[in-house]
Amino acid sequence: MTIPHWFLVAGLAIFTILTAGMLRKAVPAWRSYDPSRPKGKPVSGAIYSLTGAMLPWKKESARLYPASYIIGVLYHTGTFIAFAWVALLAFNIGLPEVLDSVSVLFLAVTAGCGVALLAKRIASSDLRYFSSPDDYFSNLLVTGWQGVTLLTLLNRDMLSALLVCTGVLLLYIPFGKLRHAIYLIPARVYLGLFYGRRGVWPAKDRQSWQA
Amino acid sequence: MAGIKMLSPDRKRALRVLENRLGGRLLTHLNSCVHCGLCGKSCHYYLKYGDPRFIPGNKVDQISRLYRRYFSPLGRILPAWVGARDLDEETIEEMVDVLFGGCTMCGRCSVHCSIGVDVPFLVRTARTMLMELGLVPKGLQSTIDTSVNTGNNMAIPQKELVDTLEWLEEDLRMEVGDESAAIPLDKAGQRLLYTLNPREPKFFPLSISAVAKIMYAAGESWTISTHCYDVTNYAFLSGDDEAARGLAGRLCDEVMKLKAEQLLLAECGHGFRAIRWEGPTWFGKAYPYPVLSVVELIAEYVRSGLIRLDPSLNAERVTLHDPCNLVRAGGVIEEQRYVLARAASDFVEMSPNRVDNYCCGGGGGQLSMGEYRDRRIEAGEIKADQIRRTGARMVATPCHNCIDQLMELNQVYELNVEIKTVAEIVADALVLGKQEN
Ligand code: SF4
Ligand code: SF4
Repeated sequence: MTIPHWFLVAGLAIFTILTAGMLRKAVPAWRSYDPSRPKGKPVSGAIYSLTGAMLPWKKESARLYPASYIIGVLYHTGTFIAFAWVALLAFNIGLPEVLDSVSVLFLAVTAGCGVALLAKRIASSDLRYFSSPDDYFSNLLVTGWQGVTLLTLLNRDMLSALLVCTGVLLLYIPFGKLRHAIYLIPARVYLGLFYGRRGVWPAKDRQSWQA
Repeated sequence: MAGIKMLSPDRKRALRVLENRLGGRLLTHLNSCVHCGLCGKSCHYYLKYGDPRFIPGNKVDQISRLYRRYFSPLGRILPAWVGARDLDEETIEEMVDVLFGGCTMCGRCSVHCSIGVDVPFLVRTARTMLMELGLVPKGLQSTIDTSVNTGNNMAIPQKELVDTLEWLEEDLRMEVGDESAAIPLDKAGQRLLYTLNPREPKFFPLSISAVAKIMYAAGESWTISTHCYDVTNYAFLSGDDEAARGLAGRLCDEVMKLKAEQLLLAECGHGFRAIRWEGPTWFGKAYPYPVLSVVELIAEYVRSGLIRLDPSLNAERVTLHDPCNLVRAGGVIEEQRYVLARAASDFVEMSPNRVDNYCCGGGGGQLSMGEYRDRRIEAGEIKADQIRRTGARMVATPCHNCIDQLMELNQVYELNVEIKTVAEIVADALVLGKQEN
């Protein structure tokens, strides 16, 4: 193992410990926070919150902003692809070359999406109004890291840089805006439990009450 | 940069509110917003003004930036980096303006948020902090004080209420032609204890008559308590849990005292939500009896054939406004439409509706906050446009708060509509005589 490998392992270990601590505070309360008699099924609401409610035509945040939505989805997909490549490259696991090329193209697109989102934040006075340096930095960090992953696929000599970048990213996630990655699922579950208990989610068939 | 220790005692108390609740749901939602701004057009304030202060994400930030400043590692060390803010004069002023004066806690943004941040939950928590600072807008606070001190939010003396109800009972007898028709007062052992919004005896007695007529037609066993009947709970809206618990607790005690089997809530969105859904959290346990909205009850009467309706008796086009607290946060979604479709011959939906419906602008305690009156009416234009597009001559809404706001919108935007409760429309369509039971 090289020093960059160790740095990555240390980053991953710290990330895991911090994330586990954060989730330990956030998650267990889901069972007990609302003692009211349910009208619907809280768990069905939570499942719907993670599935049906996320469909782009169900949410105005997607429906009214299709370009932002598609760019956002691509960008986040790029992050998952990049993480997968880091794992493969760190352990020196090879894949058919064609996947390299496809991934390079895809990461070029997703990093471009990151740049587009950053440009949007800079250009929009509404977004600037409640953005902090962390919002810009988080974007730059993830976009840059996707870029380094892409470069590493083109030139394996970049591997050390990629491992260090990944370590930095993992270390930063629990502290800044990127922590939404840790809280996203709990947030959707809590919202789903809330609406599920009250019989609001899953959204019912319009005539269902009469049945 | 001041730490908690340097703050005044009331500001420390405000931060304790946050600290004491920092777990589970609150911690999760405080850390989830990504500042994407994609919720802007889901909020009627932003739609009206296009002002970034009213983007729901910015409302989330009013409280999450305090959390970051005082309770997150990076915010403690590098507050400017993460947009953390001190709890200083400027921050507090902005919080009051945006969270009391620029949010009705309608929850529409949460349904459409890209992440699923529970915005009204965070806004209410922030309101609790402002309450600790003594900054609840005057009108809202005095409504709560009146409820706590007199037993109802309009300080109606018991005798005045009794006189009104007795007069309504006389009217009911004449209308149905039956001397035994009654509005039972303080009667123990009935199936239902019915509540009122104090605006009903004061300004809208016909909505009580409507419910009484429906109860009569259904042969229901019910009663109204003459000293504990107020369904409203403005303390829920100000974030004052202690007062909210006290107000809800009185009604619960009354159910036990009168040995009623169920608590039946009048057409009041926030009252329904506060008592039906939030009360158990304040008490730490579920009620030992069912709590339901009168709209749910009426729907059940219609479905079971206990009352019969003739829609031709309401021939004008009727539309429905969905009160946020009853529908989106209360789960009473289809019942009112089921009833109206059978009580009116031309019932049309607004668009959007149900869980997607826009707030009328009067929720979240806005109607009692005179300082934001102009903003309330201006933000209500979204609702006025929705109503106008339906071509309806009558708007039904199962909430007296919404009724007040819609009446004002009706005047200001010259909608030329009549505003009624669901029970009033049902009562007009009732076919008395032999029931199918
Ligand atoms: S859509 Fe949700 S995550 Fe985005 S700014 Fe609004 S509240 Fe925050
Ligand atoms: S809860 Fe309603 S009023 Fe408040 S920010 Fe969300 S959409 Fe706007």
